[in-house]
Amino acid sequence: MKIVGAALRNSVVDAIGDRRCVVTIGAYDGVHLGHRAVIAQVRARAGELGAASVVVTFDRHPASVVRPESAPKLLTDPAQKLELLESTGVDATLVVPFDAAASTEAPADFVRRVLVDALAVRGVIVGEDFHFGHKRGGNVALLREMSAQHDFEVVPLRLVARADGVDEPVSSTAIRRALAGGDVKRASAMLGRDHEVRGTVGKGDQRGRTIGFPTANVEVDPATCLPADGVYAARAVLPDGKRHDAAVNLGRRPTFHDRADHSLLEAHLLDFAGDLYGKQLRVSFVLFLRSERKFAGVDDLRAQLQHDVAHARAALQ
Amino acid sequence: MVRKPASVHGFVVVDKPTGMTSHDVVARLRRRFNERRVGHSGTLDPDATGVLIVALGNATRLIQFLGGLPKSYTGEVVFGAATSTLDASGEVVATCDMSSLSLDAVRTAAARLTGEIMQVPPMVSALKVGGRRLHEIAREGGEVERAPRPVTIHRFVVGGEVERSNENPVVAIDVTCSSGTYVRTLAADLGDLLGGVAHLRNLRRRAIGDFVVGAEHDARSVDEAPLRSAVSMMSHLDGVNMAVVSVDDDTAAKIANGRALSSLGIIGGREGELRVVLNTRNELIAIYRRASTDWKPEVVMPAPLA
Repeated sequence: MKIVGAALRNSVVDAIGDRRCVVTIGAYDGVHLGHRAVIAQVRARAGELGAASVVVTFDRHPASVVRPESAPKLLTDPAQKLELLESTGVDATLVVPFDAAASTEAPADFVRRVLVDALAVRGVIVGEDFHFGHKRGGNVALLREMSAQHDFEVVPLRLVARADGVDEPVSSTAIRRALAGGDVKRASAMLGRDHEVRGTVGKGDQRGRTIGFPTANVEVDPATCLPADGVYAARAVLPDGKRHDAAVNLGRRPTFHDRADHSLLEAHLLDFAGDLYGKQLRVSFVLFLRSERKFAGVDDLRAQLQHDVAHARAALQ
Repeated sequence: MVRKPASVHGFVVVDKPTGMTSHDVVARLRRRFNERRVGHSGTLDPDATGVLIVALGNATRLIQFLGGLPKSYTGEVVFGAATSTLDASGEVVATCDMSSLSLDAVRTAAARLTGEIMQVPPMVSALKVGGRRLHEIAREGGEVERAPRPVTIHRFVVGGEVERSNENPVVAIDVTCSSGTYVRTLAADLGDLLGGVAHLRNLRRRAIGDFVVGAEHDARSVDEAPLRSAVSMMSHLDGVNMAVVSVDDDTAAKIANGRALSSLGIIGGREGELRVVLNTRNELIAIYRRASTDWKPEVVMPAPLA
């Protein structure tokens, strides 16, 4: 389903009024430091032109429609992405529905419908390798071709990497790769914050409770990108906004060993007593503590968890 | 002249193109990163393509641990022609008519070459016998006795049909094997088991451990492959014989002095097991190995490695 331009404009009219817009377009998964740098340019240019600054993004990752078999796991869920985009100070985020029908839209049609009709586009700021529309046929050259007729400017940004090739540009892919290696510190450095996942606390096996370490079994959407299995120092935020330090275990369900299977997230909140069942929990990963292991007996497990908790507490100070 | 200290540390996972030697890849990365110390895990023949893991700077001290990972290959076995090198780069040294070869027969033979097997290394190889490389001896026309070595073939899949190439039957194979296995030899042994001769062509290393060609986060071209952190590379080794642990500042100070430790992050540990040790900033500081009663340093990094 394609929503016409006027209806799209209605969804952001409160924020942009009758102004024209300087926009950037993309999946914006993670809203990382690279994204933030682009948005800063959009805001600055919009300010100069007396235009509104707008991020155009999609209600799901385009790859999940175009190539579902190899779609990346998500660094942010849709609600989290909107919150983070709002925190950048951009005037509005236009969320364009992206389904099978929308994925076959000709690039020029997308420009007319979303940029011209909905946003009266005044400027487009995107990475120089930006592609959009059916079969990724749209690019900076096409935007330039259409810019004269519709009176907007196109500003391609070079992706900056250090000349010696040591640092690749900050990208969602690089962040996912760091997380896959358990390197949450590096992920934090690229995100500009700690990687956070959200989920509802479900019924766990209650095993932790019997040995003095109750855990919340946080049910995370399988589309979410989780760090490598292991034990982490983390911070948890409850629905009432209260924060607790936590030791988090990510591991496979014992009966499944397939790597494709989604890991189970169990959080032991420090200095917390209460029932979390059914509550929404946010967990952000601060530091990798250790690989996941099976223990011979309950005594070893208890001793290990004591060590983990002390370690997490020290790491989070 | 004062040598420039190593400044670039980490790993690059490369998809080696055909025609480049493993040494060419190393030389190219040495220039790209302007880093003197570069080493790779496991040579790939010039004609072969696929995953090569390369370490830079202080990370070269860790490459030994990646060398032992299982490797997966695809290739084609050409039956009816033996070559001097066991692959398509050598001269044909023997032929026979194997045109009536059936797929079932190949599968049966492949099954016999699955599991723990003994393998005689090829004459054209970098192995040393009596202080000389075998390929040097072979180039002079010599041949020496080579002791068979145990290798493990975890998986030996034979393709869906027998194709023809210049009247020779050709079968695609997909093999996962232990480090140190010669796939060329596997092809030659397959020919032998089937009462003829064979050689290997189009060898492609599809994976080293978890590092796969073609997947999003994996091997890329020599000029594009990103530098990866030692921590994220080494954590892929997490398994039965290696765990990753982080330690507090006091323990990190002991480790910097190369001290043995009675416990290390995780309770227990069998003799020989390895621990990758991180500091409180999650930088890699050492690899420890479990001795009979305590943990002993295997490698201590000169500086924490991000």
